[in-house]
Amino acid sequence: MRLILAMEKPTRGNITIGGIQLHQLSRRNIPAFRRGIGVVFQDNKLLFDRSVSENVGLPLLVSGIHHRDIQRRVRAALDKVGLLKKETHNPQVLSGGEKQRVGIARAIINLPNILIADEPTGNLDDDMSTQIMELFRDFNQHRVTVLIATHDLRQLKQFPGSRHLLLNDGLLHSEAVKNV
Amino acid sequence: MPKLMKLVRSVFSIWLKQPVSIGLALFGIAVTLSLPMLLHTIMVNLGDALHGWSERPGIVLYLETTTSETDANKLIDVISVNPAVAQISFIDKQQGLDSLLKGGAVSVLQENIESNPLPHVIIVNPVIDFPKTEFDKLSESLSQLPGVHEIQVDYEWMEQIQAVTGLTYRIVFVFWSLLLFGIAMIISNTVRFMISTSEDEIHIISLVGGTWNYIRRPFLLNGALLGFVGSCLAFILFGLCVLYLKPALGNLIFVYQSHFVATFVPVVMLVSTVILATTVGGLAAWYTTTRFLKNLSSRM
Repeated sequence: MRLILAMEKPTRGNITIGGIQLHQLSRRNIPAFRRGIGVVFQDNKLLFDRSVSENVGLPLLVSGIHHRDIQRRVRAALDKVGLLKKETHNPQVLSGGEKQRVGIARAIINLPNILIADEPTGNLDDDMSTQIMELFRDFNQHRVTVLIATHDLRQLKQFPGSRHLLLNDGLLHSEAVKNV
Repeated sequence: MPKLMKLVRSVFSIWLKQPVSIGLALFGIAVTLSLPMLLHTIMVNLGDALHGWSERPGIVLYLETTTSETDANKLIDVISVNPAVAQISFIDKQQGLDSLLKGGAVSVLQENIESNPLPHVIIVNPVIDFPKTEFDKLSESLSQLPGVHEIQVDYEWMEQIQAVTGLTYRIVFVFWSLLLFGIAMIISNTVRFMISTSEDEIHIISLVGGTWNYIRRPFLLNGALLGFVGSCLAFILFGLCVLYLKPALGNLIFVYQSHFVATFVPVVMLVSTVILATTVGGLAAWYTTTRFLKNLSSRM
């Protein structure tokens, strides 16, 4: 995932995403490339000195989108994850599941083609994990490529027919497996 | 413009959250900047007053005793066209005699002369950074002028002025350079502190596609504003110091029987101080932020 986000460069081999060869990507072009990818982190990576809506609107703000458009799209994204009523709250007062959903709203606000989630349910209980996974499935059904890294194989049952890769000690342990 | 104002407001709100560290940084910048200004003021005032530069002649033209005051004034008009001439003074024969009689020793002579035997005198001061060869050429050309009986040149005085002026400017320049470097260090350190408190934010902005320019912008503004506000505070500090030093400087100059010329820091120097401090602040912040971002990229 670090390689996909161009946080690291491959020591050998190539990574091509959407026709872009990452090893040829210059430092100057990395931000624009990252804007095309939504990322959900296990620890949310929210800014606690800003409100929920400001956190969600951050990717649009750095893209130079007009304030009025940001507000409109933030509300749409928060509505999608069921947190519209909490847009003015500070993320600190939200539950773990709500924080994760704020992170998801921030990841989808740029309408990315690829959504990456790194252990998105790692800190959540089963019910909340299921809700979060349902959100990802919903995005996937709307033609967004969703890449989830998880230790919780049970949650993958929500993605029948999708491609599952099992990694062990940093190596691909089994070929693509379907219908785990 | 509204975006810039919003950014400026956010910078000031950050300052208000860290009043002690920002206050210390601003005070440090103000002290650092006021030092060369004070040095400049003291050196210019003391040098000017103690050496009596403006009063000491460079080239003295003694005119023919028959030359009238009108002719002397025509001669002054001719000389003043020369770009190498910085200042011309005219002492008519009566002034010369009065000055001579003040000495007392020649008062006996006064009783024995029927008319004033002294000539009119023109004093020509060339521009300060005037080379010896040019000085000689100027003296030569002045001695050729009609109505000039004799000239007296004092290039040694010019050399003294050049040496002292050169030294003064070099000292002020060295001070400026060192202290601007000091300001860069102070601002760089303050910005580094700000970056360290916003490290998570920078990391997240970078991950969601923020460019280096976007990340750098508030820190650049912070650095530039630190330089700007610091230089404004330096003027206040400098003004207070001048108020405190003025009586002492005035006394010293009075003792040396010279008159005090209030040559404080000129406006050009004040404006260039603000511009320099603001630019140095911005550059220091740019360097610090870029270094941090490079480091962050290698750590990510």
